[in-house]
Parts: sequence; structure tokens; C-alpha cells
Amino acid sequence: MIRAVLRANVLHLFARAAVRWSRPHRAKALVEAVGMRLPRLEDASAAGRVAASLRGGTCLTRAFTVAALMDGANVVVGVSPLERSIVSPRDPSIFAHAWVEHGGGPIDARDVAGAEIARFVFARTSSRLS
Amino acid sequence: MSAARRFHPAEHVHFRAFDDAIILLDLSEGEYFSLDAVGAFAWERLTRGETLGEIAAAEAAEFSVDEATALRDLEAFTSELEARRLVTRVEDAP
Repeated sequence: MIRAVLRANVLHLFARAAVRWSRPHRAKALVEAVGMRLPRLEDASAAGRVAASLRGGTCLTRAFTVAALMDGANVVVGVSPLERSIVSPRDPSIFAHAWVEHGGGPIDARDVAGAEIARFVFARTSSRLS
Repeated sequence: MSAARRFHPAEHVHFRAFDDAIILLDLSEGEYFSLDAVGAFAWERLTRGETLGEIAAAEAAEFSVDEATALRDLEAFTSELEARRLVTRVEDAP
């Protein structure tokens, strides 16, 4: 497990750079491409332990990292309005969060927040390699 | 004629409706936007393919505003959406 945590933390550093310097779909593809070359996390329990070890970054970078290490995981983006506002970018009145789902549900139910607005689907390594 | 214009959400834009607001997520830029109740009213109709004229008439019936004012506001609203690449204009067949 220690190796899995170390690998995830290194991948998370890469994810932080990818999200900072590229757009979301591109960042997802980059993190996925690196993550699929690493040993897989077998279940939600292992993913939860790895996720808990990740520090810094954002919920999106942490979610990309964990999802890239699991076959068939999704990263879900949830949002909710905090108050009324006019059109504005990076609106402070919007709450947004990202979490990982696998096997039809979140790997940590406590991590779900807001209503789904978008979903990043990560590939299974077996389908990529076949 | 601006009243005949139609728009649809850009491919990279995801949106979610709430009670009196809509949140837009531009995945090409990673930016969020919120629309208030009037903006949400217009957005829902834009996504149904209604023209600005049809939406202005609906706004006049729904809110205390005359149709000409509603149309001017819609032109400004859609111009801003277009400038931010959140919608694309639907070109009618000649």
C-alpha cells in the first residue's frame, strides 16, 4: 500500500501541473495516459486510502489522480448555486466539487456535493491495451 | 433581423438547472457561470431552439417588461454569451 500511495502522490504532482497548464479535457487525458501505465487500484477501499493521502491541489486534481489509477472510474463534477448573480466568470456564488465514482457509485459517499453537471469517463486499461 | 436569431449551447458547455438559476460549465476553459432567473428563463428557451423574438414575447408575458425592451436585453445577453463562446448562432438555411 505504501508504494501505491507514493505512486499516487507522484501522479498527483503531475495532475496539478496538468490542470494548471492545460484545459480540463486535455489535463484529464494527460493524467489518464500516465496513470494507465501504473498498477491499478483494485477497489474503492484502496482508492479511498490513496485519496486520503493526497495533499494540496484541488478536488479535481485529486479526483483525476485516483480515477486514473482505477479501471473504469468516472470523475463527476457537481455544482450548486450559493446565491443569485448575473453572468460572471469564476463566479464566487457557485459551489463546485469533483469526486470519483466507480462501479456505479462514489468511492466515498461523504465526498459527494452538488448536482452533477459534467462527467469525465476514464478508460479501462484492458480496453486501451487490446 | 435579430428577432429571428437562434442559438444553441456550444458543444463544450454543460449546464444544470436549479430552482431559479442555471449554472453553466465551460469545459474548454474550466470556467463556471451562473444565470439568474431571467437569464435561466432565456437559456432554457434558447436550448429549445426558440428565436429571440419568441423568447422576448415569452418574457413579456412572464415578467413586467415590454417586448421591445426584452428583445434588446436578449440581444445584449446573447452577445455576451457568444463573446464568451458559450453559445453558437444557428444559421438558417438560405
